[in-house]
Amino acid sequence: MGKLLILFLSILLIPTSSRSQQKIDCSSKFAQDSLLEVYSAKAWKFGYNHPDWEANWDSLISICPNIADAYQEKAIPYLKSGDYAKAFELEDKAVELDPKRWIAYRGFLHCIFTKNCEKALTDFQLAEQLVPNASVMDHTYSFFCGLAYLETGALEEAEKMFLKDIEQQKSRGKDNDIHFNSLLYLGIVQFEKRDYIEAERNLKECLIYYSQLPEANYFLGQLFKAIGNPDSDLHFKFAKQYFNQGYSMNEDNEVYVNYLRQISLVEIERQ
Amino acid sequence: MKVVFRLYLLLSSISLFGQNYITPKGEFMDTTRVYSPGCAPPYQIFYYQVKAKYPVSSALLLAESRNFIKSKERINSGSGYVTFRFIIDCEGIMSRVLVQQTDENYKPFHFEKEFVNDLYSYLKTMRLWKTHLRVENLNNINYVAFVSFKIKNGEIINIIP
Repeated sequence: MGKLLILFLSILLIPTSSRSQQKIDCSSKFAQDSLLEVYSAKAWKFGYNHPDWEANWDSLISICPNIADAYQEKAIPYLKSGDYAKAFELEDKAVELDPKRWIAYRGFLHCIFTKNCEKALTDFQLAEQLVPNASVMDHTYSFFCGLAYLETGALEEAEKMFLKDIEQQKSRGKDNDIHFNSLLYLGIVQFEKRDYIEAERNLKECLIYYSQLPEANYFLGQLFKAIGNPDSDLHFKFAKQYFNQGYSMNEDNEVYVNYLRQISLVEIERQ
Repeated sequence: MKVVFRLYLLLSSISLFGQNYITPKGEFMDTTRVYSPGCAPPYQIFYYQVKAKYPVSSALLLAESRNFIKSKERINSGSGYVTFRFIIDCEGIMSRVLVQQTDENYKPFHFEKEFVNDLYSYLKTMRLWKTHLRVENLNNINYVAFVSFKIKNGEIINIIP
């Protein structure tokens, strides 16, 4: 609170003399964090679809043009409305200023929002060098690399990445649950590789964690259909039932974009 | 006289179909705004605020759009993104279609006009938009949505969202 007050007073004093303007030391982490705190609070009062959102971040950029977060925040409405030229110009600036913090996030955007797999893989490789074994947006870097490889049809590489992702999750504590979508995608990759035994094992394990997941039921149904197991109909029925009840992959960003291999009712009803 | 006037309107709309309009707010395929009777006032609401992502998977749309473009028997080129952003009114009618084009590095770029027109024609076949949605006390809202075609060497390789 005291920090905020000092900052507020110092901002108030800025217009009174050109001398006091020079007092904000933009290279200081403390000044950057304090400014970010104030401007974030202001911006989120409007929300990112309000015109003042951009004006707010522009104000911060005009005070300290080296705060990476300001560019990343300013990019949000552009990204979510499909304006990739503006969104990535800003994301690139954020990465340029603070690669350790933002390169993996940009990799995530390439992977999930624009399906730009080559760029996603490049970013995650660099991110792995800068911050090894880390996560972004609820998943390890390996998870997103797995998705990028799956998207390009590189199934062997995709499988390796999802196995690595699961190992990384296990290494963080033996009591840690494996993310159901890691098991789902590993199962899908193995299904597409026609490794039906491993695919069945992983899709069933996925359903242990999240039995209502429509995609896991759907792909297990597909797998059973491929091997002539009559339980396929049961899993298609579950997929439809849970889909209609509103169950989904439970990823934060699926409201904006479809995830890879995410299904709709049309596919289920075609079975 | 009435028939002649209607014929004139019909012909003029055909000639304008697929035409791009450059305005200070961007490049449009269609600058009109359509709000059916009974729709809420035009507040800016985005599809993701009302869970109105198009209800068909990207994989199915991809297959469908590739067939549509193939039927045009044109050889297309270029790599990047063609994005259409538009209004869906409460009855599911699309209007005010902005088009944005970038290369694979998200830098401004222009694909061949005929290709963009074909993508736009396909976009107009998408008619399963969610309708009669409600936000808090507002019934029959209209919303802003977008569809982005990811292109590689003139072929659609993905559809976003």
